[in-house]
Amino acid sequence: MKSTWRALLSATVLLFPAPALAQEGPGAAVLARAEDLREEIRAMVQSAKARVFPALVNIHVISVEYWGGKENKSESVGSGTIVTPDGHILTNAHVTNRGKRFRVRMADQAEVHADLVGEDVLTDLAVLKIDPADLADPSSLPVAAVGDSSIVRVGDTVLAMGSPFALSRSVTLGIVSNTERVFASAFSGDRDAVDAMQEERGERSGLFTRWIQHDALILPGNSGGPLVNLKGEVVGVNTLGGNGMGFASPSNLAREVMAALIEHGSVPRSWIGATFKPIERTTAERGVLLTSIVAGGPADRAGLKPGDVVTALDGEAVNVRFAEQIPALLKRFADTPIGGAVRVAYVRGEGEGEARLVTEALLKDRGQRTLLRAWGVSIEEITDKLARDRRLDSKEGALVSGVRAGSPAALAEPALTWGDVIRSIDGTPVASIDALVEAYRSGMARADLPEYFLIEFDRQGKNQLTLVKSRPDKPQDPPRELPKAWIGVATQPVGPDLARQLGHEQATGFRVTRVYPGTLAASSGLSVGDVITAIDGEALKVRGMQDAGIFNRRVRGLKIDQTARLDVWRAGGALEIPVALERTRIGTEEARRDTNRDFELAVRELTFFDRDDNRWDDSVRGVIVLSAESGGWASLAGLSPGDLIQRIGDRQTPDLETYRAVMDDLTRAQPRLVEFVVVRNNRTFFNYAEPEWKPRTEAEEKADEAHPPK
Amino acid sequence: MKHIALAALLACTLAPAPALPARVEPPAGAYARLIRTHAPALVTLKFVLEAPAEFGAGEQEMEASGVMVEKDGLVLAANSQFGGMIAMMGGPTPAIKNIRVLIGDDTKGVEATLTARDRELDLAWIRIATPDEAGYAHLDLEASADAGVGDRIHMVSRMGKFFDRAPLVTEAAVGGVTAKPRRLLVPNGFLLQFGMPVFGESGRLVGITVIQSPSEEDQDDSSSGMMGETDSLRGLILPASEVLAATARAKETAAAPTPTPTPTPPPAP
Repeated sequence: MKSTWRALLSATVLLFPAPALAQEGPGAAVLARAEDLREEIRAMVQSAKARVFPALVNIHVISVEYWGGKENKSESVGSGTIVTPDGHILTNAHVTNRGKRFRVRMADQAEVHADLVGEDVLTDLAVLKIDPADLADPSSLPVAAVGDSSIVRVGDTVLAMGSPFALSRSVTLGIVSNTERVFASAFSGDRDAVDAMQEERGERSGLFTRWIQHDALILPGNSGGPLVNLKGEVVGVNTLGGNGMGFASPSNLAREVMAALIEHGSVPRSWIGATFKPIERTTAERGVLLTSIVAGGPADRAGLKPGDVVTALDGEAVNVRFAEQIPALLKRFADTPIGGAVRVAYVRGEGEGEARLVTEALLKDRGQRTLLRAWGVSIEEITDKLARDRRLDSKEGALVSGVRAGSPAALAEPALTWGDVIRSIDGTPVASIDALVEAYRSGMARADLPEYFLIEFDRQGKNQLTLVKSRPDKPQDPPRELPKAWIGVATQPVGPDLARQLGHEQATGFRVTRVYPGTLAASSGLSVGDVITAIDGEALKVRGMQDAGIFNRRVRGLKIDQTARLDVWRAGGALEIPVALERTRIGTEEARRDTNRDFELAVRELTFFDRDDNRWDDSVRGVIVLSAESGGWASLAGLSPGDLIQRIGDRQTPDLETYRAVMDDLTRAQPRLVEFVVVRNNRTFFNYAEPEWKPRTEAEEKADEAHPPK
Repeated sequence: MKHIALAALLACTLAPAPALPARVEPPAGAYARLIRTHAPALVTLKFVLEAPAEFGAGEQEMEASGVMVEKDGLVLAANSQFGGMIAMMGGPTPAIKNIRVLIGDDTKGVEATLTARDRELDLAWIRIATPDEAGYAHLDLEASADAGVGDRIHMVSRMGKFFDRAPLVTEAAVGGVTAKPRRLLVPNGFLLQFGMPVFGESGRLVGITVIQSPSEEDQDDSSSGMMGETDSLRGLILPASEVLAATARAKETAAAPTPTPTPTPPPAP
């Protein structure tokens, strides 16, 4: 350690050379020492790195959230450390949160699937597991050592390791700035000091954590990565960072949480239904101030009241003067066996008392979330905390967390909206989110699917009814555009000035700038450079750009399948060219479309103008991607608007009908991996999607038996 | 520039109509007769519009006005009401679904399909999926008359849901007539409901209110196009004869098989 200090001190000196030294020049001994120290620092960092880097992994997560009446998928990355020979990876809960799929990139760049063992939002810690058998050499799984965070001191040199911005692994150096950082609300004395920290999306985090604050640079992507001492031991899990500060969960807390997650899948904790405030700046001289009591909770049942000052627990004096002491107090209650009793001595006014407090299990702040897809409603379980926060009378039903615009729920009168609590469906009460999902599923599976479902819901204390259509309407093909006559050329107006320059002053009209191949115009003899001066003997009087639309408008006024006589100037001479009129070609607006919900992918037919824009000949076939919803499986596979899908798996998709048939067959076959071969900017790309197929209904299975997939 | 056009539209919507010139009072009961005769054919169209990404991707329920033009459930409306304005602003035409036709002050409506449209004329045709056998009150497109500068005209329309779609007559005069891009009657006040019938003093149909905006081929990079911004966004009147001809073509188009998007051209004559 001494040599470390020397090294760091010298490094500082090297960064800020004294003016005197700069003038006189360093002596040979100083230079030699600097070089030695440089080598020494590097050797220590390299040594620590060598012990941890092989076990450092990059975690790729596909998450699914339900809000806004939609399923929203996203990709994110984080870091983690393999800490057991079985392949357990320690990381952050905010890395794994709402994750559906996890892939882990090892030090040798091998990528393997990982399963979620458990996550603990309250400490922002999580454990993933890979199967060593998935590795090329299962016997050589690298494992990092987890050190003792209790001996970490302010000033210790630490290394932050991870994959910032998903870049390959990196290491940064810093010192420990604080070993008991608590995010207390320094400027709002009336608020509970600890409950005020980190409440994100309705979930509290960090209640039991006294963070190791350090200044080793950490950036997005470092989350879940290890904080390492110079001996190469993991002493923390990097969780937060910014403005030159990093915060890591201590390894001792992480070890404890990990053990519980591996054993139970969650961390069993007790709850007492009370919040506390340190006594500094209160009238109390010892103990800890009880600030609020949850009605009906353990503290309430024990007879405790807000304003009581707790002075001892099970006969042991309690003294919490500062916010930094709160996490330990909360942890003490949390670690009490669920259903266990705690003797609480307290002061109330002038008197003293003792209560017997029996704990309950601490439940999650946020519960299940899911989607009633056909109705366009996302819903959320009503937890104790949610019920309290939203002042709900009970936990029955499920909370509407969003409604998709245009969905049956949005079009209902009254429309469902965020914050509603669904109480019953078609007269069947739904006591929980599970009961609601079951009622929805059974209702939607009915052979005699009703046109509407009767939904009972509460909104701001008022009980209401509405009718929600059972299914959204299917998208309709675009309407047909009235066909009109067309000549397959592009033109530019030739006004008097340009006509004069071209040597035929009186011949204003339209200069042919492109003759579309494969049209009747192309076989009529029209050429680029021809100036069309009249149609059927009627002159095209062009004054300037404001008349650019006259040619096509005049043509559209003629009849399809007739022949137009065009007066044309070519190379200084006049000639007449008859051109057979065609129907206007179908444009992108009129092309038929298809939307696939599994892949959240919309495509349309390939049109004549697509071919012309891309210079594709008739041999190029396929369907054009209109949209690939962000976070959808097609988007995650890399498909993007404008792509021409030519093949899916081993089947060509030359037109919309074939594409629809291929997608229908995929829905039935439900393969793990789907290959899309697309043309983008005239280059071929291979994109792979890994959709999460929805469970199939009995009716769909039976339909397949009758018409098996190809 | 196209954003300015949208702002202009909003400004027009909010601006009060200019005062009409001095005029002779209409014969007693003329307004009532127009309402009695033509309001039953006016319908409300509810539909869901899927806005493209650049216009705030998402579905939204919208309402438009239309007029029944055939007994068997053919409705005529202005295409600009079906996301056509987005296309005029340079965006893609949004998809339309879940169209329902509300007749009178009906609130539920009957299912319908957008069968054809003419973006150039700003017309759209909607057909009721399962028409009532008794048929519907409708506007006779053939019972029409022409109008010229100075002639008084009356638009018959309906107010919004809040007012139970009360019928309304708006009076104006033909202030001008265009020849380009086609013949259009220009009212001397703003007629701000599109797809609505306009009648002459004889009570016969003069035309339908539409929006005319420069198409892409008319656009000049150096200016706002062939018309001023307010010109392109005011309600103009497409003559009844053109509406009638287009409606006949629309019926033929809807009945014809869907053409292939990349056809092989017919042999040259």
